Amino acid sequence: MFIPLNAGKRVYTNFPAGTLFIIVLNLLVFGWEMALWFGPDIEALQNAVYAWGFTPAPLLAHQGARGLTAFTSMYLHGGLGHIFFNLLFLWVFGPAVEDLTGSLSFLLFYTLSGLAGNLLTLILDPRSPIPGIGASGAIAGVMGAFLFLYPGQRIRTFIFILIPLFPRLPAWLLLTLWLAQQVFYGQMILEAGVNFTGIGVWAHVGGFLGGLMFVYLCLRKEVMFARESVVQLNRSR
Amino acid sequence: MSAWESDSEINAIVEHGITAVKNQDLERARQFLSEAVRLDPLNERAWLWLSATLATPEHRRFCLQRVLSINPGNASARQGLQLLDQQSAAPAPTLPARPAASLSNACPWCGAHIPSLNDLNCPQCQHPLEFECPACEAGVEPRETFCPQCRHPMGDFRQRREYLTTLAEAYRASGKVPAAIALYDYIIELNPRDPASHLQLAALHAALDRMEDNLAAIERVLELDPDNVDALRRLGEWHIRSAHAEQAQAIVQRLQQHPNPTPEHLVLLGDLEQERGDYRASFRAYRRALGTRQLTANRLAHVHYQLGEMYLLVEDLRAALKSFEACVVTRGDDEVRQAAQERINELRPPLPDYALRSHGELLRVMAGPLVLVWLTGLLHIGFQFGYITPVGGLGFGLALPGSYLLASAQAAPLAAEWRGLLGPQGLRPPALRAVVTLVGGGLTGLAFALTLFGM
Repeated sequence: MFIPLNAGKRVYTNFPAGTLFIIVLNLLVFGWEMALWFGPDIEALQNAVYAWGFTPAPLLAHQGARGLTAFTSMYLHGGLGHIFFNLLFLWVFGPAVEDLTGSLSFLLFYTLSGLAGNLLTLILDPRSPIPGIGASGAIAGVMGAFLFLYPGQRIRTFIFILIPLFPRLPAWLLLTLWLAQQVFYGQMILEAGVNFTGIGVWAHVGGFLGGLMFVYLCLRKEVMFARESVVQLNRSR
Repeated sequence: MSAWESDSEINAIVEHGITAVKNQDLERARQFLSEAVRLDPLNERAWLWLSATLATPEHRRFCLQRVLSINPGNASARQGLQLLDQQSAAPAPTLPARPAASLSNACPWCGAHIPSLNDLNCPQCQHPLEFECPACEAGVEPRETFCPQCRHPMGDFRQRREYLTTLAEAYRASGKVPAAIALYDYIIELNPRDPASHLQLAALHAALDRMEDNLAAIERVLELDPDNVDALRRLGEWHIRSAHAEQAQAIVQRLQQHPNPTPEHLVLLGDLEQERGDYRASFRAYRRALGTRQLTANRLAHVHYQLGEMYLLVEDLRAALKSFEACVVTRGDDEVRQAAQERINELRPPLPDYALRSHGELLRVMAGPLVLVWLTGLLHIGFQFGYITPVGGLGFGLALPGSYLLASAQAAPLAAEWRGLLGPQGLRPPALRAVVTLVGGGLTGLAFALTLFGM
């Protein structure tokens, strides 16, 4: 297991408004989930997850909120650990990506990555009746963008192999390993025919690939059109 | 001293010099020993023997002082200096100037080789190579062979034209124009058939507003070299400025009727015609000059710039812009290119960093919102296209203009379409951009809603 802790400085912005907005929105929605959980109706949370989680089978059957769930599912979480680690990854990688996209474009990019994650889930597991929830698809997109923009950046990482270690690993190594792990799990799930992990790994892979692709369209214009070189920006750090 | 010039080689040169001294071949000896001290400035023997080859006491004294600075215990140098002191107490004999060949490219004080004529100091002994008497430091007229104060011979090194020209240019650069004129007079006296010197003299006279002298010098240039472009240019420009229409016309005709005009002549013709206000003729001359494809980078920049200015006068802005752009991409004079760039900036204000330069860039900015709407719609129908309703289809369609407007307002203030619609400022005014952002954002939002709720 590895946990990234710190991913370096920013050039354009001091305040990652877009990242913070997403974190706050997730926390608010999680608060609403907790209110349902502790509310009188014990099935309210489960109903909400089925109603607003991204579930391929009813979508293809033209039932429920369908396309809207592709958005709402990004802000639902299944527990404290789920939301904590998702938001930790977002906090580590998000500000650096937002720095080169701008806050509004970052929100657009984040949403597109989440959609890409849900799209791959829909394509690879169209009959699934299990709702997919969580920001991880979109956050995987942020990680993909980070790999695209800062491949050589070293990231302070927490690794626990008998003893806790805090190496500074290059982004390309860390993120490629993470992607390989997801693809490996996804392949096992496909072969088994059932998602025994409880994790939407194909949403992660789809989001990651979407992030790699969509960040190209959402960069700051002066960076996008090579008025300023991303390579030079990285070197100046 | 170069790495490959070993001590033994330098010693051999010194030995050759000493042998030549003993054989009374002082000229040859000076050449060897000067070379030796150039290669090894701390060679005590070479300096000592070099002193024996020099004619003037000052030069000998300098060499002997160098010997003592290297080795204060050198008895021969000390004796030599004492002897020179005794001689200087007696009246100085009037020595004839040495022949020019003997001191060609050699410092008159130490005999060292002077590799560069741009330096006004000897690289070996650092003595200033100026027109002041090395003995009494009095200023000496260039044409004087002996110092009028102390009768010290000034040496024929001053007769080298390159050196004199360099010195004159140094005088001119430091604002001592009369001194520079005196030098050029002397240079011309030495070589009266050199047009370049006459031309320089003309420029100096012009700087002092001595127009008659200026014209006389230019006429002299044209006598020596009738096709001299610089002389023709100066003469023509002067006549035009002085409203001497006939004389100006004569020069223009001279250029027009030239059997084999060079590109320089054609550029000059263009310039003169432009000064006279005959833009059509000027344009023709410039185009002919460009057609030769033999213009130097500076002239090319000049011609493109002038063409741009003429196009501006006739209000052909597109052609003017093209000419100024052509000027900027030459490798010509920076000042001209900068002026052209300023003209371009006036005609077409520079784009901000975030502005789009092409439709490809516009598409990239459009793609984000467009993909959001379309992907949402496609996810909503689960890629089952039979579910697309007219309202949903409208949503898909509206996403295109909406994202185009949004992208234009955010990143394309000067996209070609907007410039065509709104004039050269395009979408730069903030209020206009805000309106387009609202309209684009509204259309995109509507498209999003239609694809999500209309199918």
